Amino acid sequence: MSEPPTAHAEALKRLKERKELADAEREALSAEQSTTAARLAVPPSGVAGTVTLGEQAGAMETALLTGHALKRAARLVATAVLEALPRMDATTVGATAPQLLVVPAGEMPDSLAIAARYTERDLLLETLVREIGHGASAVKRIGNAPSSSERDTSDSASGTDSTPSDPGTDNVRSVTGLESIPAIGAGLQAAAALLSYFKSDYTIAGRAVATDDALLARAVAGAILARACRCAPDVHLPCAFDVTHVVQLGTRINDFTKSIGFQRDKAMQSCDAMAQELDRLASAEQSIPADATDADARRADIAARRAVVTRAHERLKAVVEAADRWLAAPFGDGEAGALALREWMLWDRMRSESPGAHILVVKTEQAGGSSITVKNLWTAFGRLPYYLSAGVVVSYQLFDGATGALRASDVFPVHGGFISPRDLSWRAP
Amino acid sequence: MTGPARVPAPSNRSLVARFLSIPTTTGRTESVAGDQGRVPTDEEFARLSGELARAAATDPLPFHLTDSLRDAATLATVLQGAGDRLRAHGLEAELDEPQQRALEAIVRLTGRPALLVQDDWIELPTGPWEMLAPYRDAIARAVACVGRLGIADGYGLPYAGTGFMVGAGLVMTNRHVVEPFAMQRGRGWLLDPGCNMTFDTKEEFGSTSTRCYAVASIRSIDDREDVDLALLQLAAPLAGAPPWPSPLAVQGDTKHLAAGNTVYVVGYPAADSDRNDDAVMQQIMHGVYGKKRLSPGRVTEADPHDFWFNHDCTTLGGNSGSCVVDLTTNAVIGLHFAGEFGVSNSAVSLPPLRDDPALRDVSWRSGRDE
Repeated sequence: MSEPPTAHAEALKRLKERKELADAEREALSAEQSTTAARLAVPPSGVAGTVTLGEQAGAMETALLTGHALKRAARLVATAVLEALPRMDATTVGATAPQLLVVPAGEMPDSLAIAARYTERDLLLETLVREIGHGASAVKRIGNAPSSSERDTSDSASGTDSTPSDPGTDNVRSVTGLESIPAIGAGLQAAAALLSYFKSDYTIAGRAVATDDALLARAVAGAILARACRCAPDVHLPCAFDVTHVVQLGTRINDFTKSIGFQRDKAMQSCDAMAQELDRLASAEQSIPADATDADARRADIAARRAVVTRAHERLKAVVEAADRWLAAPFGDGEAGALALREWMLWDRMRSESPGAHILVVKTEQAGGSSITVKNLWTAFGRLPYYLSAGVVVSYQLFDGATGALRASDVFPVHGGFISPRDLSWRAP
Repeated sequence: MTGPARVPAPSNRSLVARFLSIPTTTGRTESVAGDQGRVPTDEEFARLSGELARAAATDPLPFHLTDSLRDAATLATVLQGAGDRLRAHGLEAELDEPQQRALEAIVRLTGRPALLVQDDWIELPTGPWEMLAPYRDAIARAVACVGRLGIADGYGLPYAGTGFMVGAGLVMTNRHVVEPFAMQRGRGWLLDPGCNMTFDTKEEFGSTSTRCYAVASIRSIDDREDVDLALLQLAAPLAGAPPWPSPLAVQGDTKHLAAGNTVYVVGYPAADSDRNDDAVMQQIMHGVYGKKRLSPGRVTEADPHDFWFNHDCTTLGGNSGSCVVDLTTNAVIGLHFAGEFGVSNSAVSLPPLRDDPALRDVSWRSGRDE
C-alpha cells in the first residue's frame, strides 16, 4: 500500500524556508556587527594588572618616613636629656641657664690626635725653656768661678734655675742634657709622626656618618628648644653655627702658639749672648802673650769654655729651628692641616665652654626602611598594593663638661610602622 | 674629696736619719732641713721621755704610742736602749718595734711639721708648737696674703712657685720662679703672655675654692747674684671679685734678724723626691702636695750684713717665693729660695734691702731712721 507524499514534502519545505530565513538574518546581523565594529574601533590597552618596582621605588618615601622616626627619636632623647640636666632655679636673680653643647658623634674630635698636637707643642716649649736655661748657665759660668756646690737647691716647682748662692748649679744637668739632644729630636719627630698617623686616621674615618648624626643633632636641639620654658638650657650646635668662636679663632690660635713664639724670641736673645761670648773668648785667646808662662793652660781653659758655649749655642739654634718650623704650620700643611684645625677648633670650643656646660653627643646607629606589596580583594578595586616602613636606632651620651662624668646615656629604637605612600601626605609632623 | 694617701711605715734607716737630723743647737726638730745631730745622752732621753709621756697623756693620738709605752719610766728605758744602738751603729742601727715607736713619737713631739692650711687657718699641733696659739689672728692675716703662682698648661709644671703680697697689688717671689717666663726688654721685663700667670691665695687642702688674681706684669727682677727676688704686679680685680689682700708688713730693721728667732714659712710645697728622702717627705706631707701649708721653725744662721739667712722650717720644691715671717712681730723677714735636704734652708734677708729703690712700694714696717 502506498502513502501519499504531499504532507512530508510540505513540512520539509517549510523547515528549509525557516533555515534560509535564519541564515539570512544571521548574515545581516553579522554584517551589521562588522559595520559597527569598524565604526567604533579601540586599540588594545596592554595593561597586564601586575605591579613592577624599580630600584629607586619608594626611596623618597622611605626617607620621609625615616625623618618622621628620627623626629620621634629626637623627642625621646630631648625628654631624657632635660630630665638629666640640672634644673636652673628660675626664681634666683641672675641665675644663668645651663649650657648645652649638642655634638654629632661623627664630629667629635679625636682626643688622641688633639693630645698628640698638645704634646708636640709642650715638648717644644719645655725644650726651649730648658735649653735657654742651659745657655744662660754656659755664659754665666764663663764670668763666674764655679761654685763649690754643684747641686741645685732652689725650691721652685720646676727646680731648673740657679740660685744666688749656687751659681754653678747647672753643671750636672748640662751633662745630662748634652746626652739627651738626640732624644729631643727623636721626641719631636715621634710627636710629628704620631700626629700624622692620627691625621690620616681621622681623614679616612672622615664624616661617613656625619650627615645622619648632624641631622639627629639638629632634631634633638630643636626638640629641646621646643620645650621652651624659663628653665630651658641654652643650646649650642658648635658644628653648625659658631660665629663667636670663629671671630675669636685668631685669638685662640694665638693663645695656642704664643708661648712658643715668646720663648723662641728669648732663645734668639740667648743665642746672641752666646755668640758675643764666643767672640769675647776669641779675643781673650788672642790677647794671651805667646811668652806667658801659663799660656798653654789659659788657652786650654778658654778652649774648654768655648766648647761648652758652642755646644749650648748649637743646641739652642737647633731648637729655635724646630720652633720656627712648628710656628709656620702649627696644625700641619695642606688639607690635613685644615682638617686638623677644624677638629682643634671644635675641641677648643668644647674645652673653653665645658667647665660650665654639658656636652650631649648624639649618634644615629642605624636608619633604613623596607617595602611590602599586598594583593587582595581591595587591590582589585584599585587600592595601591604597596606599603613602606622605616625606623631609626639612635643613641646619646650626656657628659658633665666640668668633670667629664657621664650623666645619662641611652639607646632608642623607633619604628615608624607600615604605611601606604598615600598616607604620607597627611602624616604631618 | 679624697683623703691624704696612706703613709707607708718608715724604714728603720729613714727613721734613724730623721731622728739624727734633729738639730741640737735650736731644739729638737724634725726637719727636712737641719744639721746632722748627735745621739742624745741618757739624761736627755730621760727628759724627753717625761715630755713625751705628759703630751701623750693629754692627747695620745698624734704619737701612735701603744699603751705599754705611755709611762715615762718605760719610755726612758726603751729610748736609752735605742740610744745605745744608735751610738754603736749609727744609721745602720737595727731597732726593735718599741724603740722605733718611741723614736717616732719624739720626732712627732719635737719636729718641724708642715701644717695644712684650711680656711686661712691651721689646726694647731700638739706639743711645743702650741706656742702658735696666742698669735692666731696675726697668723691668719699673714696666711691670707700668700698665694700660689699658677701658669698655663704647656710648661709641664703644676705651678711656678709661691708669692706673697707686699704692697698694693704687689707680689714678692723669687727671680728663679719668674725667670723661665720672663724676657728682658731694655731695662724692663716682659712676662710671657701665653703663660697666663695667676696668683691664687686659696689652693687649700680639701677645698676647691679659689681667690685668684691675674698677674699683669713683672715690676722688677733683681739682677744681683745673691738676691733671688722679683716683684710682680697684679691686674686690678674684676668687678665683683674680692679686692687684693692687704699686704704683709716687711721688716726693715736688721735688729729683728737673729739666729734662734721663731719663724714660720707659708707656701705650697710640691713633691720633690729628687732632692729629698721619699720616706721622710711622705711622713711629713702625708702625700698631700701643692696645697697651702704653714711650717714653723727657727732662724738657724743670720748675719745682719748678709743678703741671706738660714732657717730650719720644713720646705720643699714649690716653696720658692714663700715668706719667712717672724712669729713675735708678724713681719716678713725673709724670702725663702732654696733648701738642701738635711743641711739647711735659705732665705733672702729682706731687712738689708730696706733702701733698695726697686722695693720702694713695699710696705716696710720700720726703716733706717729707727
